[in-house]
Amino acid sequence: MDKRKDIIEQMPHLMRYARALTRDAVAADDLVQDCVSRALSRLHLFKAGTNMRAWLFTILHNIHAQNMRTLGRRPRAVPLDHELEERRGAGPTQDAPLTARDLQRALDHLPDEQREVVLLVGLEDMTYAEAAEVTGVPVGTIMSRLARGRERLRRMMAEGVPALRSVK
Amino acid sequence: MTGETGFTETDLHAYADGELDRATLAEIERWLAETPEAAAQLHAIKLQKYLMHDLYDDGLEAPWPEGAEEMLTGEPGRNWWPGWTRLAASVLLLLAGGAAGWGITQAGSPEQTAGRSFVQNALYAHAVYSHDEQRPVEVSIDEEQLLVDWLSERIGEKLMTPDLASNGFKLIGGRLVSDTGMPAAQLMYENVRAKRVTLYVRKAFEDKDSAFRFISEDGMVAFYWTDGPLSYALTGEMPRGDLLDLAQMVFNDISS
Repeated sequence: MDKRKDIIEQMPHLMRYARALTRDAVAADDLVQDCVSRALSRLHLFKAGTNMRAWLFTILHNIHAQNMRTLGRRPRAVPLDHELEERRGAGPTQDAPLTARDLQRALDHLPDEQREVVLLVGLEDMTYAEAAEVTGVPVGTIMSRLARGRERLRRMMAEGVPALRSVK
Repeated sequence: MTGETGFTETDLHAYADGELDRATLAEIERWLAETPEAAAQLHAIKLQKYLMHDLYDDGLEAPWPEGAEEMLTGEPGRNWWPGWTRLAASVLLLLAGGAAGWGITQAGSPEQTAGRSFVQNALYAHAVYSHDEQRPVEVSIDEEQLLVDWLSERIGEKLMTPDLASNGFKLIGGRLVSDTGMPAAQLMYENVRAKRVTLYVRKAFEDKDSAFRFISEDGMVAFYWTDGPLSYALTGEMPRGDLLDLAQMVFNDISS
């Protein structure tokens, strides 16, 4: 088995997760680049037959955590697409349907540890065991972060994000 | 939220994430059928997952950082990772494998893979939005002109709204959804018994007209086809023959 081929297979997923995590295409590229570089330099440490996806995501996760600690890099806000509202010629209404934008806004306000788990399980379809391996916490913690994170997202999407609402 | 059956919120998440064993599945599905608040919560979880894909699936096809590509394939980054290609990521991977000389064998033709990915997205969008009690559509039929203009502009082709009234289905509105990063329109129809069918439309994923193809999954059935510049998928929860009648009506109405 060629381990590089296994890494290539995971590249689209690493790219997607890195973009969701950093909300910044440039930072995401740097993160994936660092992850691939570190993975290749430690390829001999990867045990054949174990989970390449979890191994790579663990590396990516650790680099990201380190960036956050040392650089204090904070995620940037993403510009919103107001096209539909503009066409309607009015501001957003309270009954506007829930869209990806609402989720984006809510995700931006989720604590990092909850956001990571919500993304690993919801977007990357990881099992709870894999998410636990990647983030280095017990499965029970994964389950409680997931439940708390999703409930918070649901509430923010239903009730709006107070901080943003007052700015707009 | 614990009922007599002893299920908790944690079980609900585990169910949504496919973490439960077969035996528990049947029990929790019975519980969901009897517990509307649990069913509503499950729906919120599924909606979040769906919207998350809508937001981030573009990333699957993003060009790799050049340095990473060189490190992995031993060739300098050429940026050939085509942004315009909307084939499933797996197909792009086959290209990557081929380019580096591994020669992975291909399971299905690119059209088949693209067709499956298209209809999967249509089924997924149907499952999420047709059961949404509060906001099944983004723009309702009350703003029909806005609906048609906006969706036509986003999908890049004139969108028709077929008339299914003679079969009892009325258009109630539509929304913009993401078909693996490409804009797609979902039109929703409803009959007097509040049964819903959705017509999912995007720029054609194949370059020639096709016959009807059929798929059935999770109690949903769908017919999908390509006609000129657009691909269509009609999805509902009804016998195959009934849906075929509707698909035929859609097809006739659009081509006439």
